[in-house]
Amino acid sequence: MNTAAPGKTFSDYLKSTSDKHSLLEDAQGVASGAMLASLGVLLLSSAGLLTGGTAGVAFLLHYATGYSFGVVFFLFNLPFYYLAWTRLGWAFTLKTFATVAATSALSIVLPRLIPIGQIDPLAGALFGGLLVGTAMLALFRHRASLGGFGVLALYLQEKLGWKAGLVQLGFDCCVLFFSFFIATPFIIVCSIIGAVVLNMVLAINHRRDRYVAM
Amino acid sequence: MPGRKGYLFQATERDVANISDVFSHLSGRPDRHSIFEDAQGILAGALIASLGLFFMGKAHLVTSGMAGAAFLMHYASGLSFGLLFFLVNLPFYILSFLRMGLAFTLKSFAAVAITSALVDVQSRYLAIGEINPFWAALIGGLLLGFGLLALYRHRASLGGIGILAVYVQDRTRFRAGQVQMAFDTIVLAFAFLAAPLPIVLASVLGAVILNVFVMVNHRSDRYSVLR
Repeated sequence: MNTAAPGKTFSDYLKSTSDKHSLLEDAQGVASGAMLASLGVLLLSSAGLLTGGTAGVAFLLHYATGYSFGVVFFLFNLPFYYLAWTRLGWAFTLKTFATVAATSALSIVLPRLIPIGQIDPLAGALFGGLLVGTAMLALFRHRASLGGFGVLALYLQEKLGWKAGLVQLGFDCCVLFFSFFIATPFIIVCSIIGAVVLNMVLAINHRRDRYVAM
Repeated sequence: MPGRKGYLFQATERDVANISDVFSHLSGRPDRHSIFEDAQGILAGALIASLGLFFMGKAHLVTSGMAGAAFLMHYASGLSFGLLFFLVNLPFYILSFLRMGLAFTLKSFAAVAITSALVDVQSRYLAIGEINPFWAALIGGLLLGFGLLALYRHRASLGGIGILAVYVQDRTRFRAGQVQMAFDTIVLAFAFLAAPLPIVLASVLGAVILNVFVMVNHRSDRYSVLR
């Protein structure tokens, strides 16, 4: 399948302008975003914390079954690429797939490379939330994501008229509900603090009117 | 208040304008950061940078700029890195105030102070074991790059040699880039004398990652506040 836009040569993708990232710039953005995200995931998981979205589900399954976070996160995101492809285009989907694959792989190898002995849950939540939030900010600015649930929420809003924000909130509440079965109240409070930090980083800083490159 | 007898609160047009000014400081226009946005940007940048420096310190690496000089003094003297980093940056605030203005200087001072304090206390809540120097360089360089990028976009810095470099460029025939490179070469030369080769190579790798990351991503044409 020829996915390239008509009339575009390869060198067009390497051109960097004020309002457009080149292919190389997107590649470094996706690579460093994935690296930062997996580092944040390492801090969260070392402290036994949970988070929202598909990463939250992956954490739940990881703690409940013992399967590695990376494998579960990668598998759980697979169904969403179909929606992403049809709704958000091939470029977004490929970049998101690359990001999720790299984050999953790095999440598997990082614990061996960075042996974290002990981490205070509150510090884990603060730094983990900050790193994942900053990573998602970088990814969003390069028109990629950490996969998953947002796309489905957008789809449901369009098909059934459910508000995307509410769907996402409901989804995260489900994750929170199940987390009560496997985590202590202190860990859950810390997890919520981490999720708040993550979403504050995005809510304050993700502004299309400020970072103008696509 | 004179001239407003009989009314406890009567908002004049100017008051309304002032109130909306106050709120604009919180929400922020596209071309300007509010005080609150700058505060969270500096805090986030300093937190991420301190994590990067923490990883570098764990593997006994050096890096470019004043942080590199502080690392050298830290390894040689045993004094805490945070204290040294804070102290070696002090002389530059005078230059910074003269050349870059009060806001930049205050924000940089806050960023350096938070980073210094955090690097020193990091090991109290985050205990990590032996870390391969090349991975520490990759992760540390990337984290420091992210932290600096956030600080630069909020018109702050981690102090130091960059300001001196601009000053020297103005006064002499040396260029800012040359000053910075000369400084980094001296830091690396000292590292060569004191540290084993893999550590030096890893340090170079980390410094390259840091500088390439900042070079590729710090573009004032893409971030409207810096335009």
